[in-house]
Amino acid sequence: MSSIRTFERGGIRVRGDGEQEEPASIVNAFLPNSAVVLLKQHAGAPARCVVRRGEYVREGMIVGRGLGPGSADVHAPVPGVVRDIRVVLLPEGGESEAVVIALEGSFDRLGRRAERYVWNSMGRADILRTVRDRGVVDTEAPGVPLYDLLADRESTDALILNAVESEPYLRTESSLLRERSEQVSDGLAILAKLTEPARLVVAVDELCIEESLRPWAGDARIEIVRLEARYPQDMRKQLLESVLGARKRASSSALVIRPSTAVALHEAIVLAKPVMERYVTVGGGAIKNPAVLKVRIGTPIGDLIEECGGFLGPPARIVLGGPFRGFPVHDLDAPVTKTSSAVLALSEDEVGGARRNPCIRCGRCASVCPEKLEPERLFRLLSNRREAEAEAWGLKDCTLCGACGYICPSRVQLVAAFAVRLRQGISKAMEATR
Amino acid sequence: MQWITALFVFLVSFGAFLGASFLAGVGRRRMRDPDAARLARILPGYDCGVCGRVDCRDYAAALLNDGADPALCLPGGSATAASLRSVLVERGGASGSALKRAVVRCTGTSAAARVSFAYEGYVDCAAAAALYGGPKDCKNGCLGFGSCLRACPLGAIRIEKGCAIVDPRVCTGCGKCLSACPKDLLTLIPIEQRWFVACSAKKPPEERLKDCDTACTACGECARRSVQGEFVLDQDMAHASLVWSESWEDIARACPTGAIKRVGT
Repeated sequence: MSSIRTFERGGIRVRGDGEQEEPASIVNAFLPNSAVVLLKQHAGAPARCVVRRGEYVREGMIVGRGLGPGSADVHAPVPGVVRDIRVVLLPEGGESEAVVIALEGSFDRLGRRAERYVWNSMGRADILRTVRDRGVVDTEAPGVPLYDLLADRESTDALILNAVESEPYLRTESSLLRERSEQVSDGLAILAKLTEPARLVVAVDELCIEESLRPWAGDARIEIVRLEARYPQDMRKQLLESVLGARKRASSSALVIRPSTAVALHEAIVLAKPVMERYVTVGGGAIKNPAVLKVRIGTPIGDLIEECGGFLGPPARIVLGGPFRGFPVHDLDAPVTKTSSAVLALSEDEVGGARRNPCIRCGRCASVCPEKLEPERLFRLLSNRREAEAEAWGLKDCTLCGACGYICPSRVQLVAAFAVRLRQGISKAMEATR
Repeated sequence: MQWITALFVFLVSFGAFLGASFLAGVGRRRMRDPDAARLARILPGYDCGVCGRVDCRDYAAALLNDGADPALCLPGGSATAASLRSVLVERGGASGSALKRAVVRCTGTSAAARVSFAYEGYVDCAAAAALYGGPKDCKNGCLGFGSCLRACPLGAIRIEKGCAIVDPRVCTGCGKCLSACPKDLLTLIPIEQRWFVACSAKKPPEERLKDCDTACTACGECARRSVQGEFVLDQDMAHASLVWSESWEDIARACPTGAIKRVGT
C-alpha cells in the first residue's frame, strides 16, 4: 500500500486518529408532496422558466432552460401540476425563481426497469450534448455545469476522483463509493474517455476500506491515492497539492470530480435520466437517526429531517452543506438542490457559545491556513478599510475554507469578513463583464 | 557726503526689497488654504507617518483635497479626529459647495420592522445581506449593522433602534456612504429639502405592512394633499418632487404610516 499523502502546510485534524464517519447504506427518501424546484441550482444565471402555472409536467420534463455559460437546464423531479412560480430567497444570498410542483399523475421512470444505453459507441460531441441536455452540474457548490468543465478540455494532465470526506458529519461521497461503486466507476470511465487524462487518480481517505475500491482493483491505469483526513483536504487547491505536489498545483489543468457528480453523469448517459435526484447526508447531533438519503430535488429539508426520526432536542443551527462551508437556513421549507450535499441539525453543544473576544494575536489562524496566509493580519486590514493592502497580503488566495475561524480561541469572525470582501470583488467583476 | 547718500539709497532700497519679499511671502501664505493650516495645527506634528502620509502637513492637505479619513491619526486619538471633523464640517457647510446631503430611505426601526430570524454573524451589512437578504422580513430595509457609519469620514451617521440616520448638520454630501449600503438605501437630496419618503420597499404595496409598520403603502394620501405637486405617486411608491411650498410639513404629517420623514430625525 502506498503511503498517506497530504498538503504542505496548515489544515486541521477535526477527527481523532482512526476515527471516521462510517459510510452509511443509502436509503431512498419518500417522494415530496410538493417539490420546490429552484431555477438557480448552478453557478451562472438562473434558468429561464419554460412552464406555466397550472401546466402538467411529466417526470424529467424540462422546466427551466439554461442561459449561457454557467447556467444549466432544470428538470421536473416529480410528475405533477405546476402550482406556483414564485421568487424565493437563497441561503447563500440573492434570490431565484422557483417552480412549485404538486405531486400528481403517474411516473414514467420510477418502478420501471431502466433501459441501459451503451456509451462506448457515442462520440465526444454526442456525450457532451447529452450532458448539457440532462442538466448535469458539478455537485460541489457553486455547481459549475459539467458541460462547461468538459467543453474546452480535450485533454488534461490528470483526472481526479475526489472521494475525500474531510468535513465532519459528511459521508455522502464515501457512501456512494461503497454502495454505488459500479456507477461511480462508469461515470469516471466516461470522463476518462472525454478528457484523455495523462493520470487517472482515485483520491480516498486514509481509512477507506478496500471494499470501496473494488471496481479499480488490478486496473493498472488507475492510481489509488490515500490522503490524510485533514481539513480542507477535499478542496480543489489542497487536493491538487496533495496529489500532484505544490509546484504543479497552479499550472495544472486537472479535472477534479466528486463521486456524486460521476453518478449523475452515469445516470444521464447510461440511463438517459436528467438530474432529478441527489444524495444527501442528514446528520448532526440534533438528528435522531442520521442517514444518507437519495432525495428528489426540490424536497423540503423538513421532510428529510422527519424521515430521519425528527429532532432529538431543539436544534441550535440547521445548516445546508457541511459545518465549515455550508449556509445556515432558518426555514425547514428550504428545498434540496443539485448542490446540497448535506442537511445538518446541530445541537447547542456542537455550535458552542457565540461569545466573542478581541484577537489575542496567538497566531493559530496563520498556523492552520492551508494557503499560507495570515488571517489575523488580513482581518485587521479589512477592519480598518485597507482593502488594497489586504489584497496585497494575499486575500484573493483565500478559499474560505474556514479553518482559521474554527481554530480561533477568541471566535473572531475572520471568515465572514473575508467572504464579504471576496464576494464584493466577484460581484464587481461580474458587473464589469456585463 | 556723496557716499552717505549712496549708502542711504542702498539701505533704503535693500530694506524695501526685504520688506517686499516679506510681504510677498505673507501674501503667498495667505493664498494657501487657511483650512489646511488649521488642520495642520490640530495635528500633533510628530510627522510619524502612521496615517500613511509623509508628514502632518501632507495629511492635512490630503484631508482637504483627497477626502482622506480623519480618524487615521493614532497619536492624536479621538479628540484630534473630532477636531479635524469639525473643521471639515465647517468647511463643507461654509464653502457652499455641498448642495446635497445623504438620507437613508428607510425608517424601519426594530420596533416597526419584523424579523424572520436572529442574525448572530459578522457585524457588517453586506455579510448580513448575504444570508437570506438579511434578518428583516422587508428585504429592502436598513439592516442596521452600520456599514455606512464606518464609511462616513465625518461621523455623520448613527444607528438608532436598528436603523441608520444621517445628521444633516454634519453631512457634507460627499457620497461615500452610498456604495457602502448593500441595499442601496442612501441617496443624496438637495439641502433645501426637509422631508423625504423614507421607504424603499419593492414588494407589492398591499404586502408591505406585513413586514413593517412604517412602510409606504402607496395609499396616495400625500399626493392627494399636494396641491402644487409636492409629492407624487410613481411605481407604487410616493416620491418627494422638487416643488417647495409652505404645506410640506402638513402633507408629511398626514402620512398614515409615518413613512415620510423629516431629514435628520
